[in-house]
Amino acid sequence: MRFLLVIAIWLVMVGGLYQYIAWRDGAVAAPAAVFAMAQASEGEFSLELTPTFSLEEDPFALKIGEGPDTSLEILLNGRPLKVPDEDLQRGRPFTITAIEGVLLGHNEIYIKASPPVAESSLDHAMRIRVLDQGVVLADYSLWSSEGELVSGTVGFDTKEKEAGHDH
Amino acid sequence: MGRMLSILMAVMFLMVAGTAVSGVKKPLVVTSTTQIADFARQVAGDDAVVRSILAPGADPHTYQVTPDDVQIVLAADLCLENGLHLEGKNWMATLAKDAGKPLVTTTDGMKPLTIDAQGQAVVDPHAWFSPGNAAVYVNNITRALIALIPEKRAEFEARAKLYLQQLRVLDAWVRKHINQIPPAKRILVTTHDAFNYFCREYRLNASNDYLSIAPVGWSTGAEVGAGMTPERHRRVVQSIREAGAPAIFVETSINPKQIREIARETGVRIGGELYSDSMGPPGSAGETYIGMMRENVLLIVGALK
Repeated sequence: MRFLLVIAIWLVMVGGLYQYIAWRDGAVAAPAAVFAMAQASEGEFSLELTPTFSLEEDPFALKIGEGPDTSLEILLNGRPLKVPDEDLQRGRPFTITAIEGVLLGHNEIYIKASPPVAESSLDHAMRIRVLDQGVVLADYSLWSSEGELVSGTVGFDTKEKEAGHDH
Repeated sequence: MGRMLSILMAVMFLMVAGTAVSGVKKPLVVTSTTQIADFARQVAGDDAVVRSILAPGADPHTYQVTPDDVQIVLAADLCLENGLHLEGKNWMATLAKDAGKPLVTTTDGMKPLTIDAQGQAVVDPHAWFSPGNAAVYVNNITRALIALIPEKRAEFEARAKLYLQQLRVLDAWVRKHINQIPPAKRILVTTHDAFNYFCREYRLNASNDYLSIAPVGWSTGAEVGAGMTPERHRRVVQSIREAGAPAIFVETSINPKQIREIARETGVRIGGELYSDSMGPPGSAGETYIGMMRENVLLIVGALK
């Protein structure tokens, strides 16, 4: 009797496990998520930067290979923007024109700039303006204090241009 | 019989497991100074073992290599030195060369300070006293560790970035604190010329072109411009009297005899003991680079303010 009971328990446990595995493997996979490709925005975009400091190479950057200048880094929607060789100077607006990679809808620009180390007792800032054919889409300032890099993200939105509305 | 067999198999299993565990050997990185050892540990983490030849409080300029040092370097996978003749008679380079071990000079690529020593231009080796230069050490060490253990590149880069950010914060903190000292009182007199980079970076000793004021030259050894001369002694006493230094400082790794004589001669008090060529022993506030700089600055600002 005891032997039969053991057999019965074994059948329930192993059988139940087998059923569960069969059910799990037979489950229909959820359909793959489909991501819509973001559409490029039409327009003539430019980026204007006005810092309270002259750029200096960041002495505390990780430099273990041949890499780009560490004094200024700009990313548009995660992709590096090519920065002209001209130096940013204290108080002088610096404009990057004909920016490519702006998308329809929400965009983000990430900026990281290195103020002079000797000015770490000063607060520093950089004004960032995003323009489309002279129209301001975003106007924001990033701040730093106590020797930190001036860095942050600025978001802006673009809309689909309506046909026949040339300004 | 079955029980004996089970016991025998268990013992054999433990032996194999023990061998597998003890067979994992981490690379050994041997450094000349305690500062370089600290930088290396910050980047290497648990992925390498780091040992310093010099003990805390030892003088790199006059250090005499021992047979134990030779054995340590023979077991090394990588050797790190300061360079710029900090290691008197290049003892670390000699150790590495004789053992056939790769050697990296952690000051490579840095623009060193050149000082005038008895009419000759001499490079000052105490570059770590500027956190911006310490970042050069860290970058060189990171590169060397990546070459030694390429599969740990991501970890080394992550640790280095974190530590470089700490050095940035340290630099800003030092500037803020030094600025608390009235400009006329920013006079730093120490036992030997180890603080040129510090004075130049943080604008101390304006009357001496923002360089150290010390009775003993850039080295405590016998190199050109090193040691103490009557002329140096006289100039230091004159500088202290003219500038009105509030205090002068001894150093943990250098004999304080000369500086104490100068303190008696000028009537100026001893402001405290600074970490210079060596960091503090384990358990002390100065056992890391950041701790060493922090404690030095707190002492200097407290004595001069």
